[in-house]
Amino acid sequence: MKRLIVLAIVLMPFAAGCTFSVNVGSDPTSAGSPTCESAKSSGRTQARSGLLLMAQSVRTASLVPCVRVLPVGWTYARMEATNKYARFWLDSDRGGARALRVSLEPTCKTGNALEVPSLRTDIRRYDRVDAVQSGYRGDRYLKFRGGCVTYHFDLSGEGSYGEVALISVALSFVSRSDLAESVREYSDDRLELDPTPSSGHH
Amino acid sequence: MAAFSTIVLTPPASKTLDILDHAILVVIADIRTDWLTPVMRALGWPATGLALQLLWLANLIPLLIWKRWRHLIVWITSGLIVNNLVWNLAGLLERPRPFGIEILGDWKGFAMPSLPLAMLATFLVSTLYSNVPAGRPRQIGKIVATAILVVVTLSRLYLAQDAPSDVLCGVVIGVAIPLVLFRVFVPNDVFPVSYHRGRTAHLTIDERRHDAIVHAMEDQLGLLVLEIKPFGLEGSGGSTPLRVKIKSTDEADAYVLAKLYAANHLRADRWYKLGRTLLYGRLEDEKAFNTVRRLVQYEDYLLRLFYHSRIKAPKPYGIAELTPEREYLLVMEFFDNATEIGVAEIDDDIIDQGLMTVRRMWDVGLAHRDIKPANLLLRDGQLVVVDCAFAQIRPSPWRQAVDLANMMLVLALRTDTRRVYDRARVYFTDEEIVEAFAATRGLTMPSQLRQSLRNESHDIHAEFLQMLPYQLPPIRIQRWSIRRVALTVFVLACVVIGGLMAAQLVINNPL
Repeated sequence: MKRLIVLAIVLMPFAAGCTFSVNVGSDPTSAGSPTCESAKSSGRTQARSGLLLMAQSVRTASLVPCVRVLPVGWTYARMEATNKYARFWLDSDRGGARALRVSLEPTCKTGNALEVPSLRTDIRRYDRVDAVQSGYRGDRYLKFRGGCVTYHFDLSGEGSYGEVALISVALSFVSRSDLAESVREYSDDRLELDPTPSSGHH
Repeated sequence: MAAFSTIVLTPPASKTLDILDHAILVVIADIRTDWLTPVMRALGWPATGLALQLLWLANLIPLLIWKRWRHLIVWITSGLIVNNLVWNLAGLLERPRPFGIEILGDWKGFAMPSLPLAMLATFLVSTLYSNVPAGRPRQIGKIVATAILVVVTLSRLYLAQDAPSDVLCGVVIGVAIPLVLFRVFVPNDVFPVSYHRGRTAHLTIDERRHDAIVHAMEDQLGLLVLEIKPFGLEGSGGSTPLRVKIKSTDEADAYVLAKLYAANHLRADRWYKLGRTLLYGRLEDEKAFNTVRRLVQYEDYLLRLFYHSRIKAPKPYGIAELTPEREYLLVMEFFDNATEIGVAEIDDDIIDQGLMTVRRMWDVGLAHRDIKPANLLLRDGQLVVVDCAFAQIRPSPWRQAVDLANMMLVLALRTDTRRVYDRARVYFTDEEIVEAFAATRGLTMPSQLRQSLRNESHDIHAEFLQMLPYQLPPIRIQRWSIRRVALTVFVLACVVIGGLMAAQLVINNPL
């Protein structure tokens, strides 16, 4: 009986993390929040690890998406990064959970999205808005050298257009060269973000 | 793990670790060649989602076939703990993939601890402790598992999917957690991995336990043990019965029956009683025992009560304590050369003895509650009742009536219903016999008796019913109480949730 109690105590935190559907193959909770400020600080800080991981996901991308300051009502949800793509999600208290998904990939298919003027000369912007009863659903494609970022909006409720405008301003980019420089600073020039020809380039 | 976390979360230490890892990876990356890379990719396959899923399913099948439920639960639990712990630690440590090296393989999420290696190590250790018998096979298995881990580690380092410290951290977690869980919750001496048919929950009589039994029986009961052999394991789920040869003044060999009880039998008793509560309702006294000592004390007391009530039952010799509160021996008379009633020749005298046994139990206020062929033995023309662990003192009339009908059914298996019925009328009134058959049907019969009745070419139960002067409506055995309803709902909920979780575990890959 004592062993069972010990097992129950040991399992409790894991069972809590398990949720009903068994936490097999899901992601850690809110790790790797990609804030733009952290990119400029020196050292491999916790916050910047998310940006570095995204940069490692798409080696060709000259820019990496980040969040300047989240507007009131918006929170960082989670991140997923693999060797093919990187994504993070933002929740909105008015627009709903996972109201925005930001994806970084080497390329993206814009389909029937319309090109609209971009605020940055090194980025081309394409927008597509889906017809919905209420709320806002649409995609924004931001193409740049070596990569493409997609904002997938899925907001429900009144005032969604205002929320989209608000969060769009909060999103930005950090350049790969800035991230590479921060890795060099952190390691006293002993480490590089990207592979160098002398270190196993194959 | 605390040391790892401290290193990674402390900037100077973290930097040193990154640089060290990088230096090792650079050395390994220098040996990359066009032909070696595909080889290394292939060697890293055991740590992929598909391979781990196949390994899990390959383990699941023998665990289900050989009904190693405890091993299965620990298997799943250790997998879930490692998976969740590694994901959460990775989220806490937030370590990127190796810097400055081209990563040639697939990866997902933060690097430390390495989830693929942690899961591979967990599954390999779980495989060893749940499906490979202890001894030489497991020793060989450990070497094989280590070789697989080393090869996959080399592959992942070559492909730069993980840094050396990521791998080390993952393997430490992946080995330690299942190892501890299996050793604590399914220790090999209590739950051995075996591919022999039969119950695997019986305790093995290894050298240590053998010596403990010898000393305990000599010191506490004054019996000099010459030989210990497991006896009738297949028919016993509630204890581990042993036939013990003891030193005797007679020339002939003398034996006693020693029933070994431990915590696993206490658990078996608890599950058994839970099942009976769900099936029967409130007519039965199904309170589970809290300790092994109480379980043994209860059976010893009933044995003495039967014996001193002049019911033919084994003579009790007492209790020997092997480990306080954990392991006890209940020692009693062993019926050498006895035959189970289900295979013996039965005459009117034996029928009378069986019926008189029930009459005597009624008179002294006892119910055996488990009258079946295996618990009625014949030796030298004497009918003996054994295994009174489930007996009840001052039982309900319903419970006593069930004993009578079950005894008549057992006796009729080897004779004929008319003979048994005629003899029964000598000892019991028609009303008592009618009531006995109104009380006895389906679940109230022990499963061995039900099976024996099904194997007969004619319906013995129906024949008895036809002989009765009149029939009472069947006594309702399904009595519902708030406790039973709550228990039933709880058990059903557990089954549904467990089923859903099991489906998820089978369908999803562990990465």
